[in-house]
Amino acid sequence: MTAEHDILLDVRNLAVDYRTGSGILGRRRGHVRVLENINLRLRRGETLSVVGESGCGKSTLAMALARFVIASHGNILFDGHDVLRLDAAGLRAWRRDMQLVFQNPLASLNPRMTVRTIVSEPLVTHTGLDRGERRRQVEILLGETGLDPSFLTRYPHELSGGQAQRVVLARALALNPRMLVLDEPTSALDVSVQAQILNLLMRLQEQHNLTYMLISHSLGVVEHVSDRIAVLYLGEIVEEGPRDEIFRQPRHPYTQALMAATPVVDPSKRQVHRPLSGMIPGPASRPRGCRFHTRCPRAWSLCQDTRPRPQRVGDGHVAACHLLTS
Amino acid sequence: MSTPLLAVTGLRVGFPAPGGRRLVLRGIDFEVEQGTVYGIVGESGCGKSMTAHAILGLVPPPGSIAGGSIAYRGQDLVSGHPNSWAGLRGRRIAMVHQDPSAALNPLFTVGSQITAIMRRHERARAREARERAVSLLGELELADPATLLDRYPHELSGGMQQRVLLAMALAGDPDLVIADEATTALDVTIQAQVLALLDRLRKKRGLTLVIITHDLGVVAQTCDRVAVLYLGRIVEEGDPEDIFLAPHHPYTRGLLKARPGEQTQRTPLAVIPGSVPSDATNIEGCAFRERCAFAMACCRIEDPPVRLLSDRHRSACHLEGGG
Repeated sequence: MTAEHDILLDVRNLAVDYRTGSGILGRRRGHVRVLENINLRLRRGETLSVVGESGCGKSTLAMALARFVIASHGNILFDGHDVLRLDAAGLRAWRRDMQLVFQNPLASLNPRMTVRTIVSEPLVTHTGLDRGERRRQVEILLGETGLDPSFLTRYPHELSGGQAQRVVLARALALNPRMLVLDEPTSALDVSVQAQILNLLMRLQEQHNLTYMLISHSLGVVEHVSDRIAVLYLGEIVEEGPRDEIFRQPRHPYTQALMAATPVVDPSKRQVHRPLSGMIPGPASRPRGCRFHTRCPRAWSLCQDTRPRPQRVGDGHVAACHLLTS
Repeated sequence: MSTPLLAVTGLRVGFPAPGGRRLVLRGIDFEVEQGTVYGIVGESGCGKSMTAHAILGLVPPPGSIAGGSIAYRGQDLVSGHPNSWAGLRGRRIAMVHQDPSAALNPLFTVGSQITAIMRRHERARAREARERAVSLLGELELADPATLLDRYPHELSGGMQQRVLLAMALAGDPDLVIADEATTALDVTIQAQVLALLDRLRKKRGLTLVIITHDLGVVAQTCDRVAVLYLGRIVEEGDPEDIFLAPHHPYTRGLLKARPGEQTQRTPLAVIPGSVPSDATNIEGCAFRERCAFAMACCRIEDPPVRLLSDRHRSACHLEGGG
């Protein structure tokens, strides 16, 4: 069992709605629920990965954690404090403790700033360090992310994708955060560069005892770095559990389909499975009952009307599917 | 042996640069047999897309083909009449691009974009073209094709847009379809659908496919032959079993080892040190040697010639044997 004090982040029944099409005079038209009933717990120093396809709400989850979008329901407890009820000072501290890293590193860097200015900016905003101390700190941070001091005077357009992501990581580490939310941090990179960044992420995690929430669509990356995995489909967690259980014994048909659809680098194992039929419905047209029943190869009448509840299927392993209860 | 559908020999493409010409393709050789799937893999900047564009005669200016030949059914297009491409492009050889939202014109309906191709190439009449577009979209397993024709690209999902692009590629009834990262922007379950669909179309229509991608998994799953490109050269070519199960070139081996997955859980991944140089024109010897763990003295001096490892497997490396 996990001791309560081991839990760094505890997300309870989180829901997020987006407003749709405000008409003339800002009149509200309606809401679309993009995340529903999200329950996640992150232990200190572990990596939880959130996987899913476009529109499943994985990036919205990152935004909700940072309070860039307002959750409509639920709690986000970080070290016992509810992030959704923080005052201005508390929110500032939260944004120091939790840093976000996004997919496209070049889009996260101001093209008019040098690397030195970019990495020292959080130090200017959040700390009382003087100029000399900041300079020293920036050089240490760049060193930790594998960039030599010659990069200090460069501009983002002079960096490769991998170098730019290293600068983003140096900036994210500037305030000694306790947790990083990594939203597709290597998706824009080539395989050989991706390997370098993944190695760096794992080294930094160990050195700084960081807790990671990794958002990714790449099962290879997820299998490599995660301790636990949550599978998201249309705004709901359909399965969550330890990495090995999820990969060896996926219980939800959607998890199974995701694994089967990922091409493996072995021509002797050509896949003969039938791919999932149908398109991924948008959040505005989420099916009733089980959200997945329109594409599920094993759906039956119950799935159309009744939402399956998460069931415990193993140690720390839950899945929400009617097949598991009957 | 019969003439291959496509034979590319010694293809070089260059761009003007200060002090001479910068080569982005440095002598590409490969042949694609009719009815097969040929895969070209490599990382950004290796020249995959440039190869595709060169085959269609669409090297963007100021670049130009600096040498070599591209033979379609034995007819060289590079030395031929400048119009020889115009007669093939879209009709015999078609291309599917990576980003469907960028390749479709947002101001025109899906139907008008598909029928424009038929009307241009075959002077089909409007009504006939529309009927053919409906049956084509049906063949691509899109629901309710007649209504779909009147919709605009932004109303479609990524998977649907990609199928519309495929329909446009097939509108001229080509023999050869070049798919440049055609499934990269798609989710995996949708990618699996599109790949399965491509395979069915290939069998049904007798298509020949050239699949260009950075995704080693897609190639391993779909191709009959594989070429690995590095800095404008094919460094290794073979059957998928050769490339993925017995790779020879250190770059191929590095790429395969750098992939995260089951075997690598939380252990440091093998890394290809450094990064791809931006320009290979002035590199003496092997263009990969600076990043190669096996580099020897001769790698500095001589760019390794292509060596046959077996009658279907070749590698451009000085290393002996199968490594």
